[in-house]
Amino acid sequence: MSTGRFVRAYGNCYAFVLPFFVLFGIFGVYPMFYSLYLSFVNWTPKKMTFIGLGNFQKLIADPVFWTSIKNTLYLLVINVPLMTLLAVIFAYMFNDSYIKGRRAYQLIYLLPYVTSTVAISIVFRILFDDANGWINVFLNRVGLPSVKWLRSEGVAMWTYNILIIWQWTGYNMLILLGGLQSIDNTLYEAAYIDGSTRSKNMLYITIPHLMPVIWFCLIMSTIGTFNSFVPSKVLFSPAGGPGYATYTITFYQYLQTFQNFRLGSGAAIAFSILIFVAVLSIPQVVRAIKDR
Amino acid sequence: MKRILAVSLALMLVLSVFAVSGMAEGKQKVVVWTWYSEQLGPSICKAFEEKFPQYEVEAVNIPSAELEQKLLAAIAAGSGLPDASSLQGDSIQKFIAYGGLMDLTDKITPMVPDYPPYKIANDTGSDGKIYGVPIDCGPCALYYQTEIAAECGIDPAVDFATWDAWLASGEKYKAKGYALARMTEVGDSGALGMWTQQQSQSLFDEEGNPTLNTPEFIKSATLLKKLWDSGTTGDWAEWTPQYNDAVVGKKVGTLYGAAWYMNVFIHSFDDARNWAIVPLPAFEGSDVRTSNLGGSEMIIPEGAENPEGGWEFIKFYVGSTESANDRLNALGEFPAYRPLYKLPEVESKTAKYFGDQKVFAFFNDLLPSVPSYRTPAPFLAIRDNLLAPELPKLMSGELTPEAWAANCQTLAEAIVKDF
Repeated sequence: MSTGRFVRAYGNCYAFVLPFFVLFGIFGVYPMFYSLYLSFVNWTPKKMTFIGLGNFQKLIADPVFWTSIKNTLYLLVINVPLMTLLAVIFAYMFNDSYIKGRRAYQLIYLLPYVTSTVAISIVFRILFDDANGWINVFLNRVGLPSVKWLRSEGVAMWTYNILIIWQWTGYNMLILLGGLQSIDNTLYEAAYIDGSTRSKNMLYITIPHLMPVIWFCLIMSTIGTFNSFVPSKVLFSPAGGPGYATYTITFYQYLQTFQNFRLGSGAAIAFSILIFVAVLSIPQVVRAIKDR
Repeated sequence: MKRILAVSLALMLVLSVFAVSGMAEGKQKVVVWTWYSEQLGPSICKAFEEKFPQYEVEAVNIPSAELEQKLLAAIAAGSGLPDASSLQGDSIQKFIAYGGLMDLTDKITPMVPDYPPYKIANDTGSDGKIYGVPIDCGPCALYYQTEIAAECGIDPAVDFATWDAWLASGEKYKAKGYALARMTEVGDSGALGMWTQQQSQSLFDEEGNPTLNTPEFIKSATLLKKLWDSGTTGDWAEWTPQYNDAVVGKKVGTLYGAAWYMNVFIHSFDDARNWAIVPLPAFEGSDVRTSNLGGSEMIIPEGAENPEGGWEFIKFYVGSTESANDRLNALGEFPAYRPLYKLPEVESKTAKYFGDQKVFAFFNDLLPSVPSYRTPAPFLAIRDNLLAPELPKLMSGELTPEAWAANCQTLAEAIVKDF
């Protein structure tokens, strides 16, 4: 096919998708490569010096960087499986037409996801306040001692996990609900005729058909957890505290870039995040593709 | 129909162009970035525009932390810069070190005697040039609740003379069911800095090297630890609802803080009157009874479109008694412009909240004795991102003050090396 013919035949198709690629190039690809370049320079607002792998070498020697990686992985290991499991359970429950008012429940469970994380963090700060927070007041009422939710190094990360799980379970539930509703009902009918039980249906029909969606939720939750920043900044005082307990990798990147003005170092952290997310996501993506 | 629509749209376009150009016709725009715009808008900008009709001020309200980021981005990009901007006093050295602020030395030199020396030192770079003009400052003192003090048999002249005496008075407060002060197990890195400055020390030496293993810093860490261990404190984080309740509900006897705390008191704790202010207790062997917490500066970024307009605005805003008095009255702010305090109405001004004490004259008298304090580029990285997260190790007793200071020094050296 000649170029002229090709343009006449498919030109309008390319024209329609062109704006996306132009915008993605400007706001997605260019900044990504530029920040990769920045990770190799020592950049203060007025001066840029090429230092090769210097920023990465400093990161490797930086104990706070490893603490923030450890905290982020801790968040990841706890909340991603737990959140996905809860989302599967809720989605399964709310997919059942026997549950009255399930639409209302779906909406209620989704509300935290559409609420600003800053607002949620502020509300959590009031709820989990060490002295007079509602949670501790409740614990005291039932005869249990107060817990230092925000100021104990051992407990702060649990508070963080509670917030993340509470906020994101509804989103995963919605995605999984969509997956559940796309499973062909005739499969269940056939299984029912063959004498299958509800639990066997779940095990042999629902879960296998839902696996691609579950993998999608796991990938999105992994990425979301790696990007988690706001609770570290807003929920805890001092920010990221107590100690370094709630320093996440994105929070540390923010500190280095915007508070300490170590722009090259911030870019190096950003690329470390990319590497970690890629390493953790590749097996999930491969598995998701295989399950299709 | 189409033609009418096209003509209407064209007309609207032309009118909008005229409307925009007409607004600024014959006037130079002065763009000011500040978190004080609420106060600037109605009073100071209007007064400035009346006095200098050639200028039109656009005060852009940006929260302080966000302002730093925006300014950083604008300096790096070299465009979108304001003609003048506020900056936190603790941050200005960071901007000076990295470049991007206009040298104001020639302009400000005639005004230097009008500001506290330590504030001018704070705005001076290692090259000896001055890059900022102080807006307000935070000379420190001890606030105490007079009714509680009387009930507990506190004699301010004796019990608040030294930090050791103040700590000991905690038992008197405790005996009557009150807290001496507030403190939590995460410590208070701001207090550490304040106490270190009171002892005429900084967290850095003249070359910008960290000095966290000095006897003065260890003394500050020891005081913090002793205060926490004394069991005479209330477990409230600063400016939380619980802390506010403690102040209003008369549960806490004293608090150390800056002059601008007056503003917070008056506007936040309307019911909690009967407070008084005395100089900070002294450290043994020293007669310095004050320090500094907070304060802000005005700067002009290099590459500003209208630096002359920016400077005129700064001079009016922070270099005139007219504006300084306005700020003092409107917000209870403590302006750094010292000629203000020579005005008879300010010198004799009392605050009912503080038992008709002449609070402005009181703090003005403290100003000359506030020791200078170095806040080089890594200052916030050390205070907020090192000392604050490391403090639990001191507070929990995991490390002694000496060992903790030595550990912080090692970590700080690694951070500073990277700057």
